[in-house]
Amino acid sequence: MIKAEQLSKTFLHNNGPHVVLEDLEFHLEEKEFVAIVGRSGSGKSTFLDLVMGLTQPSSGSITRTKPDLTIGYVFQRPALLPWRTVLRNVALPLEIAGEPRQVWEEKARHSLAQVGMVHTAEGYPFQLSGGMAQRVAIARALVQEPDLLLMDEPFGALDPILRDNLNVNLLKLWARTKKTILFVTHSINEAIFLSDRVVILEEGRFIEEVVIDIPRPRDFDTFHSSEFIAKVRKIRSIMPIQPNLPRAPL
Amino acid sequence: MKIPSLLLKTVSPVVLVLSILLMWQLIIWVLSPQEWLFPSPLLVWTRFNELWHANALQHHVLVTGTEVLAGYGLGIFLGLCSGYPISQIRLLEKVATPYLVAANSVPLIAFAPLLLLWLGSGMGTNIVVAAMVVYFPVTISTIAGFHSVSPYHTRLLHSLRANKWQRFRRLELPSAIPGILAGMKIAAPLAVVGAVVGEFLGTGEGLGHLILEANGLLDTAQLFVAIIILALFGICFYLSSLGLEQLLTGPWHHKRRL
Repeated sequence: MIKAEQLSKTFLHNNGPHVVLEDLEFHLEEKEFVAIVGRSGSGKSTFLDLVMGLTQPSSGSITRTKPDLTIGYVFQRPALLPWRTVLRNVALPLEIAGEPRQVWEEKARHSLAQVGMVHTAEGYPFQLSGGMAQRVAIARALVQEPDLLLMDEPFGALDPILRDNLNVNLLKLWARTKKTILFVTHSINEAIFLSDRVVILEEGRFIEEVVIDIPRPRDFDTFHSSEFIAKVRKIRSIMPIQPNLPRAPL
Repeated sequence: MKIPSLLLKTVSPVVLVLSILLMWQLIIWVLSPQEWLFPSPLLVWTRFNELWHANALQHHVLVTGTEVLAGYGLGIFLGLCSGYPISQIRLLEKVATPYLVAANSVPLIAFAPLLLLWLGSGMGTNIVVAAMVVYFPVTISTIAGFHSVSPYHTRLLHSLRANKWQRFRRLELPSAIPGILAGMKIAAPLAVVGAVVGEFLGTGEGLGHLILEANGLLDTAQLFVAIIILALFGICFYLSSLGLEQLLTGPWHHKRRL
């Protein structure tokens, strides 16, 4: 679905060029759930921007197998517009695409139902808790029925218990809708729990790929299974404890 | 709305007005000042009725009201028209902002005689004076309003590939509205000040003229009538901008943001 070859991205700063991503090789297959794990500043978000087409590669290429591939994007923050009701927030992508009201209203409601938030449709974002708001943001990303869902640390700002809950729900949603998901996180546990494959990003390079063959469906017990712990151990051993250099903030 | 808070909202202004009147009357009773120095509420009321029935008030109220409204509207319009481009074009902002701030700290009222000289006396000049004092706070708050757009929201609209108009209509304008309204609230009483100062300089009509006339004749009761009407003007303007704020941002503004 997505194929990156020798992909590099360099930003020009006042104090010289700053290499964010270097020679990445990557592929993503249909209906796959892939997690990219890396510490802050390792270039995760830049990679998603490249996949999304929000920024262009400095060298190398990123290709989509389907030319009219549609992509939904979930950010680190819900970024709901406070002056719109929940329903109209979810409908925003459709409105911008020029869909008529009858269409977006029905689709937005359906999308909210998928994340179990349809009861909040007429409310405003300030009435939602952090976790609810992020679920609404997921509904907004799903409303265009995208082929691919990009998620950039969507639950990173939430408390761990809520985060686990939302991840379990996300897996159910994925099982139901059979979307392709590319999920970026700095949590090793989250990456293993969710994905088929964990790609480790370090200093702008994909240093290793770990296939997660833990059987599905996965639930809270998965976290305590021996295979889960073995995977955590494996990835920890790959990721260096101390990054080589402090990187310039982006 | 709960009943106690509704009660509080409607009763408290009435209580306030009544207590001001009571204080006023108390001063009259205790100090018994001379009538031309400090008239009683009753005297002011009588004078108001006299003026009203003699048709000596209506025209002036209409003139000042028109000046205030037109000046306020013009000032807001110009403030929005210049505030938006300044907020969007960085170079323009760098060049214009220091002058705007400097111009705002000059007492603009001091320009009124100059305007009178250039434009001649009349309602038009007073409208310009009112518009000028309204213009600066509205411009500055418009710039601040358009700068308050959240970078997360910008990124979202960017990812949805919204065009420039869609970004303006669905993100920038709604983000800026609370700021613009704040400027409009500050500017509302200023519009009244601007119009009255213009009238002071001599147009022969309007409440400002009525004040000058009353002052010359030591008709303090008439002075009070004019002042109270002007105060009511200011309050009405302020309340209507408050109402507009409630209408436009009521359901969501000043609430927790995500």
